[in-house]
Amino acid sequence: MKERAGGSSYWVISMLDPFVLRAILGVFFASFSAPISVIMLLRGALYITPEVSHAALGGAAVGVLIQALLPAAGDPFVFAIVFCVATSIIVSRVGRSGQQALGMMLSVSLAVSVMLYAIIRSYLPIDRRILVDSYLVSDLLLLSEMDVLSLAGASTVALIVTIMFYREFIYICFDMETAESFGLKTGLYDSLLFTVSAITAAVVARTMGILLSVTLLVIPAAVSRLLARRISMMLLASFTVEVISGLGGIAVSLLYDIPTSGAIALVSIMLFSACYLFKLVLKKQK
Amino acid sequence: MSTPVISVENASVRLDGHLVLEDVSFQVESPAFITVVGPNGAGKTTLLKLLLGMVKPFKGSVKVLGLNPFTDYGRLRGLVGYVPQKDRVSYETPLRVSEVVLMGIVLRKSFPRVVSKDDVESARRALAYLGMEEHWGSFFNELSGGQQRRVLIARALASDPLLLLLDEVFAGLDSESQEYLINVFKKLKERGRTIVIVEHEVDPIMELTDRILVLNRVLCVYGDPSVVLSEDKLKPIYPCLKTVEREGRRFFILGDKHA
Repeated sequence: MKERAGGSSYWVISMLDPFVLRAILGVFFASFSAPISVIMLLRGALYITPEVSHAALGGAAVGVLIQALLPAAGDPFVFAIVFCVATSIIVSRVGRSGQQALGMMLSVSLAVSVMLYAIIRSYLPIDRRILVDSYLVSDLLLLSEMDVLSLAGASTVALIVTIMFYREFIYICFDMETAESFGLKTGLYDSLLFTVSAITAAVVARTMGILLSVTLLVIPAAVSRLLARRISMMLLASFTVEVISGLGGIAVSLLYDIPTSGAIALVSIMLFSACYLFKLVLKKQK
Repeated sequence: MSTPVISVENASVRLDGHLVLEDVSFQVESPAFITVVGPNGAGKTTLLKLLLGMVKPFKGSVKVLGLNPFTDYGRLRGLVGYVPQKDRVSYETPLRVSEVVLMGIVLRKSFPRVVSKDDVESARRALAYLGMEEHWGSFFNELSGGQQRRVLIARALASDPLLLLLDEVFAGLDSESQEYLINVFKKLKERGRTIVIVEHEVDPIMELTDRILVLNRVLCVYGDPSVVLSEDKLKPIYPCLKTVEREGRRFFILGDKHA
């Protein structure tokens, strides 16, 4: 560690390394999930997003299998997105009839996803197994150029949709019933909100791995709630926390030679703890 | 003969397999203040949603301001204002009062719903009408319950609707806030607006009420308060009904408040 931390030249060389550059780009595009996570928090449904990211595992397994059979079938990441979106919409629809139905649906979707992963994985050759496993516990430093392009495409689409329909999403969070009475097609916009959150869940699952996706999908939004009063400031705080967690995590990972996703999760949890304690101290002083 | 403001004929509504409204028929011929009462689960809120076109009857017909709320949705949405029960609003979403009032204008527009100077003017006017103009920049969730209710009414009034549908806006308000709202509704009535209000107690709005509609899945009674407010009419619907005489006035305690 001492040798590595010894000079700034190490960091310059690391930054120029294509693996590190792709990891930085991956973190940057994963950070596009920040605004939709804040909106899902206001919608009272943020806990659904990491659950939905589990569907990416089943989707990726199906995608890798199809790609193995038909090489022209395309990127397995597309299948991961499709599975996440389908799960998210089904969960949001079923969830309207109550918390019990919602919980049951989330459990069923998790079971289906893990089942697909377990069965398909056993039929795959080792090199393909690694690809599916990377959705479970990912290493950002292993992202390929194709991965970065896919992440860029999906997260940019999600960000554009969020910006376009930001006002509708916020009004749905505030008062869905009245929004409907004013003529807003609330069912349609709500499904769109869950679709966009599912796309970001798939992006974060690809960059962080499903097991650690919660750190980028939930913690930054939770921190923003602790720090900011206004929605615009919450969006900014959430994005900043995601970027700091990502870049800080990559730095810690290079410095201490530990897996990148784990390091990002560590920085993210440390940020949350620090903000929580800060808020607690402020409250006591009042 | 002029078009009735509201015309409901034999409307029956089923929600999640349960019959919530059954063969409900009534008309509001000209601008008036209608108070809807009934026990919990009587279908009062569903009746408001029926008038808004948010729930469809499986039987019967509904006309609001001469329009069908299910086919003329676009034309009707600018003519009807709605204030929901307080628990329908999320206090976790930190919106400013200005954003809440503008919601009443912006969502009635087509995409991309650009806010114009006129929209801001209308929103400010509606807020001033409720005496809340100094709270334009305040956070909605930091206001008192009475102030929040006024902001929600301002939001409903922002597009200057002809018909106002209010769901329990007096619930939990102190007498000062109630008095303030009564004066606002008085002014609206004088301007020829029709107000349909769902409440659990009729006494606070007695002086404004032109007609009372008692609902208990079916329409039990509909008419002039002097006719409807009698023990023989209300006792079958409210077994716990109590009447109190004070200063020459008779008060009805319906005994069916929300917990």
